[in-house]
This record gives sequence, C-alpha cells and structure tokens, in this order.
Amino acid sequence: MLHALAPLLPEIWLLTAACVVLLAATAKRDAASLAYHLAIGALAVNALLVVAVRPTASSTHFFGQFQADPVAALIKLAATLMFLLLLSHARDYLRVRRALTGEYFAIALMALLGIMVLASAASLLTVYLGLELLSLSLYSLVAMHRDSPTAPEAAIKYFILGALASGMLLYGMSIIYGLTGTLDLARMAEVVTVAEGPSTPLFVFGVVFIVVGIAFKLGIVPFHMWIPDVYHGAPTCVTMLIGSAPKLAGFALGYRLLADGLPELAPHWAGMLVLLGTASVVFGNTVALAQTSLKRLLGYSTIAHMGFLALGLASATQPGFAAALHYAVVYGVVSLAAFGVLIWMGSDGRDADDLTELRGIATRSPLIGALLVVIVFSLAGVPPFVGFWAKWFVLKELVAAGHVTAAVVAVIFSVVAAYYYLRLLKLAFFEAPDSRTPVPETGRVPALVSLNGLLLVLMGLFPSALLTACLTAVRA
Amino acid sequence: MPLSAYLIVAALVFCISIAGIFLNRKNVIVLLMCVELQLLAVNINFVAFSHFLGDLAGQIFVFFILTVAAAESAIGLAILVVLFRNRGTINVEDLDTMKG
Repeated sequence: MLHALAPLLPEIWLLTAACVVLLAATAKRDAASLAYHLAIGALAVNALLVVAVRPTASSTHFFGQFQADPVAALIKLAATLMFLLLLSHARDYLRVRRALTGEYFAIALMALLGIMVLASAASLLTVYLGLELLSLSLYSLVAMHRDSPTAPEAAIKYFILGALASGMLLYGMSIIYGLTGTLDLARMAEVVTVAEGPSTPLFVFGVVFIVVGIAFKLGIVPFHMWIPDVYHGAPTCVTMLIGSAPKLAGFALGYRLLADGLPELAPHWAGMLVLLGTASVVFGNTVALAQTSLKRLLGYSTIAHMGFLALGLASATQPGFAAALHYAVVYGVVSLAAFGVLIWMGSDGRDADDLTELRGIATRSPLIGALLVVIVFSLAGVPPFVGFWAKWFVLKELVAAGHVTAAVVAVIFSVVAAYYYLRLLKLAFFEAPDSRTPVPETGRVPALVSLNGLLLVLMGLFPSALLTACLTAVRA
Repeated sequence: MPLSAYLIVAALVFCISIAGIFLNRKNVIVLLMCVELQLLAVNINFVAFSHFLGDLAGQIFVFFILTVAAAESAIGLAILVVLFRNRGTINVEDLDTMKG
C-alpha cells in the first residue's frame, strides 16, 4: 500500500505542509514570519521529493486517477522553484505595506498543489479538481488586499469569469463523458478512435466547450477579458503569482485534455487553437501599444504570449507540445523577473505602476537598467535572448504542422510588439529621471531579481538544455 | 423517458444561466446564482449519461462537482462581502474603476 502511494509523495507532503502552515498562521507571535519560513522549507523539500520520485516512463496510480510521467515531473519542479522565488518576493512586498499575513503562504501552497494535481491528472475528475484548487486559491489571493481600491473589484471579476469558464469546461467534459462512457483520459483516447465517424459532430460539440474552457484559463482572445483587470487590480506580488506558475497549469490543462484524452480529434481542436492563438498574438500586441500602466501592459503582453503557447499546442505533434511546454517555462521565468523589478521599484511602499515611473530609472539604478535590457529583450524575442528561442521553437513546429499563415502573422505582430517593449528601454535610458534619489540595490529582492536575470541570460545562451529536457519528457 | 429529454433540459438550464450572466446588469449575487445554475445543468448531464451508460463514475463526478460548488460559492460570497465593505455597493454597473 505504502509502495503504491510513493509517486504521490510530493502531493501528500505539500498538502500536509499547507495545513501546517495554515495552523502556524494562527500563532500568537510572529505568525506571518513563522508561516513564511515553514512554507519556504516545505517548498525546498517538495522540490527534492519531486526529483526523488521522478519517473522515466508514464505510469498510473490511485485507481487510474493519477499519472506519474516526466512531463508532470518537469512541470512540478519548475512550478515549485517559481513558488520559492514568488514567496520570497511576496514577503518583502507585503511587509513594506503592512499587509503580511500567514494565510497568504498557506493559500499559495494550495495553489501549487492545484498545479501539481492538474499536471498529474489521468482522468477528467482529477483535471477538474486540480484546476479548481488552483483557481479558488487564486481568487482568494487577489481579494486578500481588502482595503485596496481595485483588488476586490479585480477579484470579483476574476471569480465570475473563472467560474463561468469552469462551467463551460465541465459541460464539455460531460458531453465527452456521455459519448465515450469513461472519465479516464487514456481509455477515452482509445474509445474516440473507435467511435469516430458518425458521431464526429457531437465530439466536436464537446471539444468546442473544452477548448473554450482552456482558452479562458490561459487568457487568450476572445476569452481574455479578465487578464488586464486582474493584473492591474491585484497586489503586485499576487499578479506576479498569477503571471508565472499558473501558465504551466494552463499548458498542463491543454496537454492532458487534448493531447492525452482526445488525440484523434486533433484536426478539430488544432484548428480552433490556431485561430484563437493567432487572434491573441494580434490583439494582445496591438492593444498593449496604447497602455500607460505597467501592469496592464504586462497583462496584454501575457495575452500575446499565451497566444504563442496555444499555437505550440495547436501543432499537435510531440515536438509542438515540447515547444509549448518550453514556452510556458520560459515565459514564467521572464515574467517573474519583470514583476520582480516592479516589486523592487516599489520597495518604498508605493506601487510603481505608471510607465512614467520608468523614466531615467537606469541612472537611478544601473542594475535595474541592465536587468530591464535582459527582460525586455527576452519578452520581445530578440536573439540571443531566451524569448527568441521560445518563439523560434513554437514557430518552427507550427510551420512543420502546415500552419504557415498563422506563423507569418505571429512573426509580424511580434515585430509590432517590439515597439512597446523597446519604448520601456527608451524611457529607462534616454529620459531624465523625475527624482535623483537612487533606488536601493541591496537586500533580498534586488539579489533575487539579479539571480533571475542571470538565469535568463544563461537560458538564452544555452537554449538547448531546457528544450532537450522538454522533448525527452514529452517523448517518454 | 429517453436520454435526449434530460439532455435538452440540461442544455436549456445551461443556456438560461449563460444568458443570466450576460444580461444581468444589476446585482452580483444574481451572477453567483447563474454560476451555480450552470454547474447544476452539468450535473443533470452527468447523472443522465451515467444512468443510461450504466457507469457509476459520472454520478461520483457529480458529488465532487457539488462539493467544489459549495467551496466556490463560499469564496464568491466572501469576495462579495469584501467588495461591499470596500465600495458600499454590489451593483454590476459600478464595477468600472479599471479601464483600458
């Protein structure tokens, strides 16, 4: 019995840890600090556990509900490492604003657990439960800043639209369940092969709802409405959380449902994803041109980047899925660095949100200037920075799968995007600063962001390491 | 009764809930009710399919959906309370401080 539970060890550990952290948050003295240290310790152990139980081949456990495979292990490891960075940033951000509570860390661990369950899902039931655990945690994190003028509004918008998306996804799941008679994703893939033919329109009907649900969670056009408001309204440390690791969950959701469960219907869902992905790249990059708020700008840029992720999934080949997974990991690391800089600039308790805050920042802090170069070039996809490789791999697979028009449009609008990305550098380097006070360059947040920037440079110089890991994981 | 009867009812309930979300401009609580209605439509689907397929897994899924729906409405109402304390209103049309 114990042996059968071994592959679930990271999940079991994390659930226990989240409960302990929640208890610690009620301690009389220094509750938040205690909860923070426990959470960081739990994450470190979790990373070790994920590595310790990493499988080389796919296997199902827990009555066919849970699968351990290299893709899941890779997602879990990347998400855990991202959360280590997220929580350290969040602690400093919340402490300066006197909003530090222990519950934040407990709920964040629950969100990570949701990502891990989703990554390992082997049936529709586990997909749904993982997704809801993640989503419900995120709704409450957005709402935690009760006195903020924007956070509760952002939370209710996120909640309503997210719940609507879950409902759509579930309706699609119920149709597919009715047609195949099973909740198990692997069995579903077998049944679809046999049943295809006369009932294809019904399958497509179900797939439409599933794709809509996935598109909502990824935040791609036309289901992107929640992204700008939530990015803008939530506290920066929560925006950072929503903008990084959950993108891996979005990939996992698409990969498990479409690639694992419905591979035979690929011509249908790939067509939908190509359309939605291209529309996102066009729309996100166009609207971002007009933004004056940094967080909103990053929100619209996310819409465009998630369009690329969807295009990777739309290739519907193993290298295509690997490229999408690579994109999700890379985007997560880049957005951690971008929001890290925002948190760093706001270390005096004021939220740096307007674009004008960037004016002359390079003279006030040369280190931020250098990091901005790396981050902006990575986001814009300038070679040899890592964002270029991520886009390159996706586009290569997209062309190989025959979607040349979509690839051309995506390239054109990535060039359009360079305008608003490079404008950030223009503000930072070539305009006079509003104040001469230097931004502090010592402390934990600057150190972590610099480390993150260094990682970005290394990932750009050695792009094949991560891609090979993704490829071997998807092929196993 | 044939399976299609159940599916049609479920589809109707689902459409009513979606229409409710998009037409309602007054009260956020009505939106929460619509979300619940949507999940109930899915439940009808699952139970009907489960019965006609002779497979219990669908009905077990319904238990999970009901449980998650309870957690979801708890969080939704909690956010609503926060919003009301913050704004003094839960009118949908007043939720427009963020634009762009």
